[in-house]
Parts: sequence; C-alpha cells; structure tokens
Amino acid sequence: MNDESRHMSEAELVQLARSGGTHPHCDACAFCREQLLQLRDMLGGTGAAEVDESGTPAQFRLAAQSFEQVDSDTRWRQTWYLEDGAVVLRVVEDRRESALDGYLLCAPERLQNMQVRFSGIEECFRPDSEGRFRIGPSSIEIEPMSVLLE
Amino acid sequence: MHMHASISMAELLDGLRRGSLDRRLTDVLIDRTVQQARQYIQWLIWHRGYHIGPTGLSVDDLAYDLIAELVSELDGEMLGRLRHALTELTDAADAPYDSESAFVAVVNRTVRCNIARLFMDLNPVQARLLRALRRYVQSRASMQRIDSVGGFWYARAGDARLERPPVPPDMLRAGTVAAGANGNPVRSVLDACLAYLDGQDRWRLAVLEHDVIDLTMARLKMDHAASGGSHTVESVESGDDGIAYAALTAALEDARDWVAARYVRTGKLSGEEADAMLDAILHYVDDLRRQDVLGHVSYLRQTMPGLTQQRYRESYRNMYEYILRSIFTSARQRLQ
Repeated sequence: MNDESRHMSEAELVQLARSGGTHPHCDACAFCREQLLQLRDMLGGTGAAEVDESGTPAQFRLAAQSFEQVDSDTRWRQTWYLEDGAVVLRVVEDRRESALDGYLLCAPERLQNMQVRFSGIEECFRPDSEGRFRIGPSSIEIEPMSVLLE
Repeated sequence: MHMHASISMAELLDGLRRGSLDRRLTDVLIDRTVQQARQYIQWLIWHRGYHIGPTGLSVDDLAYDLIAELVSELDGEMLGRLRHALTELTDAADAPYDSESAFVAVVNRTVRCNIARLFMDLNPVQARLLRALRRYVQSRASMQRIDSVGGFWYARAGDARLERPPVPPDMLRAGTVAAGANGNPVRSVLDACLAYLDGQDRWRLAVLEHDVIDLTMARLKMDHAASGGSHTVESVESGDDGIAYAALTAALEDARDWVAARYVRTGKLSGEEADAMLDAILHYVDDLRRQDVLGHVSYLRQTMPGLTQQRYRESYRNMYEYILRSIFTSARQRLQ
C-alpha cells in the first residue's frame, strides 16, 4: 500500500491480478478495485512466466494444454466475451497457412444455428460442429473489430 | 512437440538488473516488452473502440512506437530506461510485488504517457486535444493528474476522493452540456466537468482523460454542425479558424527552405522525397480544415505510392514527423 496516496500502486495491483488474489483495501476503495478488475481483464490471457528464448510472440494456448504442447504454428490474436460470457470467440492465427481461424465456445446445441459477423468484414461466418471457422488471411486486422452473433 | 530452452521472466529481469544480459537475451526481453505493450494497447483498443484499420499500422507497429525509448540505447545502454524504472520500483526491501509485476506496471505506464503518439496515427485531432489537455493541466498548480490503469484522471489539487465511484459518463455529459465555451474547447470541457463534480458528495472528484476528450470531440462536432460546417478543427488550438489555417500554410511555405537546407542539400532526402513530404503535409492540413482527416502517414502514402510501413519506419518517419511537428510549432508561434 502506498501510504502517501492511500491507494495501491499499479505494481501491487498487477501482483494481485496475476495471483488471483484480492486485498481488503479494494473492498473499500472503488479506485483500486476498478484498476484490479481492469488488470485482471487485461492480463487474463497470460500467466505463464516462461518466455521463449527465440523471441517469438506470445502463443495461443488452450487452457487444457500443458506448456510442452504449445503449438508454435498458432498465435492468439483476439478474444471476445459475448452474452455475458456465455459465448466466447477466440481468433487464432495459423502461421503455416497465414490464415485466421475463429473458435466459438458455447453450448454445443447453439453452434448449428449460429453465425458470426465482424464489423470490418462483409462475409458472415458459420462455425462447424466443433465451433471452428476460417476467417481469411492473417493480414486482416481483426483486433479492433466488434462481433455480432446471429 | 516443440522443444526449446526457456528462461523465466524473473531471470530475465534479474539479468537486466545485474547488467548480465547478452545480446540474445536482450532481444528476448525487448520482445517481451513489446508483447506487454501490445497486450495493453489491445485492451485499450477493445475498451475504447479505437479503429486502427485505416492507418495501415499493426498493433505491433503501435507497440514499438510507444515503448521505443524504454528499450532503445538512448542513455548509452540498451534497455537502460527500463532497468532504471524497474530498479526504482523494486529497490524497496519490502516491496509487496515481484519484478514481473513491476515490469508490467512500467510498460503500462510508458504506453499511457506516450498514448498521444497512437492518436497521431489513429486520429490527429484527438492527439492534439490530448496534448492541449495535458499542457493545460501541467501548467496549473491548482490541478493534479492522477495515473491509473485505465488512463489519467484530472482533479483539483487536494483530496480527489478517489475511493468513491466515478461519475457515469452519461451523467457527466448531461451535467456539462450547458457549460459555455471559453477559448480552447478541451479546457472548457475539463473546467465544466470539475465544476459539475464540485457540488456533490457521491462521485469521485476527478474526471477521466478519455471522457474529457470524448466530450470535447462531441462538442466540436456539435459546434461544427451548428455552424453549418464553417467552424473548423483548427479551433482546437487557436480558437480562430481562418487565422490558424493561414498560419499553418505560411509555416508550411517557410518549411520548404529549411527542409531543402537540412535534408536535401545534405543528401538525407532527394528533392522528390522532400516535395512528396511537404505535399503530403499540405493535403493533411487541408483535410484537417475540413475535419475529414486520415492519419498523417496516409497522406505520405498518397504522394509516395507503394510506400510500405517498413520503408516508412526505416527511412522517413523521423524526418517526416519532425517536419510536421515543426510546422505546427511554427504555426502556433505565429498565432501567439
């Protein structure tokens, strides 16, 4: 705790966000609480302290995979949490094919009727039975786009 | 399965602290710094609804730009500024965080401080509003700037009651809509926001920088619509449209001589390249006047067809942005 300002420093809040912990101060202080939530949101996709010495960018990794099974041919590009988290859409770059793939995670029975639209792409995408669909070349700047489910 | 040796982030940062990183590990740490900046920028882009598509820049381009000084050899040492900033944070014996958390905090703070550069590419008007706002607050002892993960907050000097919840943006918008415009719009909006917060005891006595810029942009658009399109964006800095445009074009004409002396005659640019840059800036200034502006790089691409982002970064960026900044500085001096 930073006594001078009566608020937690960003480094302290990052430490809490990384560890999944909290602090009594955050219950009483909206300023620190909202920063902790923001950091949890921002750092949510990370946590592994290991770094590839080759210097390649962060790789997408499914939660069920161990670190040894990381596929260096794919790279996480963006995740959208939709319908209050009931639907999660991840876009991953397939480096071998220089293409973007979407993975829709939701109740399986919804997949057959679901279509995905991105704000910057005209085409509407329909996922296969496993929720996967091919979006297009990896040069597409998918990150800032918004997503609409139909 | 891919087998590769790996090193923990804590080991990397320890090596940085002791000055024992070799060239390869230095590169790894630079990559990790860019990754962290990228993650933060993506978070900002997502939460603020920024669109980088039209600029032709990737998120990595933006990340490199925002943390360049942190990892460059500026003070005679690669990563010198990162090491210095980390040392400041981690030297306290009882610091309740580890070096990796300090690292994330340092990178995030650097991105926030340099975020106006991002807007130079995404939205030049927003970049200028942001700089005007920061200059205004820095020059006033009666105000303070408070750093946070979500951006800077502005408040009057004293207790900003940060523990309270922030006022909802819609309420702030409604509460300040009747405020008059006194001179520079971004200053008027900030003053109106703080005045609105003064008279209540429920909300935080501070306003988020992003909200001030948003409200100012909305106000400029309303003013523009109300004036039938004659009110121009140059009022952002000057308060007087035609005079500001004239000052800018005069500054641009003056620039032709010193650009020739400084860059063409010294062989740093060909005459054609210098002309292309000045023509691009002229188009940029014209579009600024019409409030229909792209990023300044887009205009250089128009006058240098086929210019790639890599070529721009390697060969032109420093000179082009220096010329552009100098022209705006010169125009401001003419207006004072």
